[in-house]
Amino acid sequence: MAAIVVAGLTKRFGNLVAVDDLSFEVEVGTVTGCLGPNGAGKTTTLRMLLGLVTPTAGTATIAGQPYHELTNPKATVGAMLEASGFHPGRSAANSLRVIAAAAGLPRSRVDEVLAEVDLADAAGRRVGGFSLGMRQRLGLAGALLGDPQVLVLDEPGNGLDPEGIRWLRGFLRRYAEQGRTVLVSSHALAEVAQTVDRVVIIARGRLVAHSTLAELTQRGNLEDVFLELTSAGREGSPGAGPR
Amino acid sequence: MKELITAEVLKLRTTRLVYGLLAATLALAVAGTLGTVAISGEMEQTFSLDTAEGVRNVFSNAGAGSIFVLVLGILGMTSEFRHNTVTETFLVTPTRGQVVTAKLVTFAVVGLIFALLAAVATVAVALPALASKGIDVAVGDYAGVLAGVVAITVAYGLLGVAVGSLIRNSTAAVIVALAWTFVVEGLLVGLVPEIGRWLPGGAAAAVSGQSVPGSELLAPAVAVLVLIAYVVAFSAAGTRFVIRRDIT
Repeated sequence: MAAIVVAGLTKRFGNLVAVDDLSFEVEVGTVTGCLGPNGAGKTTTLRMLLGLVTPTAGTATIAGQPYHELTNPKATVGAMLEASGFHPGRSAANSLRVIAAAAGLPRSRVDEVLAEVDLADAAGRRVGGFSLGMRQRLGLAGALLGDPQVLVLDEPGNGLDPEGIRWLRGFLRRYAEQGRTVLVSSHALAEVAQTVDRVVIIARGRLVAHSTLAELTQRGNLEDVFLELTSAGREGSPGAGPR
Repeated sequence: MKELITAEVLKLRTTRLVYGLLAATLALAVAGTLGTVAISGEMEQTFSLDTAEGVRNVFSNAGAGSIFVLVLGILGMTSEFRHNTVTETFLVTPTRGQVVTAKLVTFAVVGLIFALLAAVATVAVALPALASKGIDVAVGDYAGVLAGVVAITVAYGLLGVAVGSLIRNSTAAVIVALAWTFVVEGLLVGLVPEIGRWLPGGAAAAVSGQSVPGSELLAPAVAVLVLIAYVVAFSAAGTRFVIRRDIT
């Protein structure tokens, strides 16, 4: 069964085709890695999936519905995006309280998720004084507020120390083992190789691979296969394109 | 909608800006009231305090909060983009029009609270200041002026949210709004009143019952309708813009 279905998804910004007729599915109970070079269209794809960017063509559904038709989005999908932020003058707990209030979630969830990401001690501190790693944890706490069935995470490992990375890996594995679903975008291939079951590789807005990690790495280590797939047919300057 | 308004109020209460601007509003209302009492009838282009216009102008200082509420409304929308909290806001509520509506309601109420507090401060200072000049007034006779400034402060909260929806950069939106209010409208209302009186600031001045000798403002009832038309038009345009744009 597919938790996420992307079908023929396309986004043009003026003349630039950021995402080009992209189709893939994310199976329930898996951790799926969305990989690709900078500017490949990963973030734009995730933003279309989450209803933040309107596709030029195609559809993206979560639990069978487009994001904007979900009756209780926070309980269905928890998302953490790279560019999402917090007001620097607001405390960690208050930042989450604002989200919980808008989603109609009880305040007790705020303390629960802060404990879950190991930020309980920093709950009353202003986010402006947080390290990048703490911000990432807070972002993850925000994604977890609604106790969602699907997690969509954009580069969640950014700024985490080795201990944090190990913790995140275990967290995502346990999440999938509970029968829930994780879609995670990343550049950190070595890390991805230890975390994900399945991979979707995007280059220049197009799908270049969609399989289990095991199938893909039969051909060599993930880095070699990734570089071979993403450089094939490359024209012009590397890494060009929007975020 | 109740949840969204609760969230908007929480956003305001958990940062310091609103308290600072409330303090500024009260300070300006008090200073403006004392200043108006001091110069009325003494300087050109002012009415003497023994005229109804003169006393109305004193009480119209209760509208001191309108510019601060305008700024608060703008930042209520633009700070979401500035700090990128807009992503989470629209993830929680993908029907973005509801978010804009919740902000409009919230900042209308903020305008109401600011204006009522400023009115209390203005009256509290105005009565003894007028009495010290030997002028005894019944506040009830000027209830229309106070109601008018409350109405325009509410309208400025709504206009702030609308402007912030149309210009999402905080600095640019605040500069445009202040330059428009103080420079463009200031000049047009004074120098070209046949145009200026139809602008939001000209209409607001008429609603608040201000008078400048020799200047023609709209009749208050007409001015109220003009102000409502601006609020509706800008709110609709701002909402439409927020709904359609990509959040990247």
